[in-house]
Amino acid sequence: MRTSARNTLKGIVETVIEGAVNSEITLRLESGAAVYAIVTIESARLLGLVPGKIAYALIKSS
Amino acid sequence: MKTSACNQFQGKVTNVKQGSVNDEIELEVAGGKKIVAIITHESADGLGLQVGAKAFALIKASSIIVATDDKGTKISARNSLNGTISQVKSGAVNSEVIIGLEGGASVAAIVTNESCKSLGLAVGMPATAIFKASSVIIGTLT
Repeated sequence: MRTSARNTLKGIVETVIEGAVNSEITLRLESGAAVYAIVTIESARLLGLVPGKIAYALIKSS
Repeated sequence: MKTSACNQFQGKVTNVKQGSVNDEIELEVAGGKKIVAIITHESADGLGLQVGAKAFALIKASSIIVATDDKGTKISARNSLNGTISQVKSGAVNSEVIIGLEGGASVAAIVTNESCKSLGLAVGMPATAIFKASSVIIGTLT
């Protein structure tokens, strides 16, 4: 998929903390840095986000 | 109400999922399309959001990601509206991309000129407007 978001960071899902409506995902990048994302529980399930899965963080520059 | 948010969709609440801090609100808008918003429980209560209530969704153009060629890719952003690019207006750093949706509505996205170029965004091209549920502001007229 090609998107307009200028920053695409590839990493591996480290933790998934499920809340009532949202889940907090920790993505460990190749550099060792971590990116934290809040996504809806629905989305986390749809994407099959579990520790060990490769995923990408997209961040708009604006 | 007039706001600076470029994208405004009138609709009806079709689902409310309550959380401990945030609520998930589903809105059905023109063309049967669904928009999902995450707002605080406090806001949802204050606005009287329940199934059947009339409401509108506001999304800033700068919150929209434009995607092309989305075959087989899954993304966590809850909202994606498919359409055709009807206008590309270039600025000094950013471009405004208008995507015409089925049913007559349109979505305006602000993307960097670099992204516009690397995606080859042009009028007539199929594109998808993607935005997170947390980027949606819900309002009511009463």
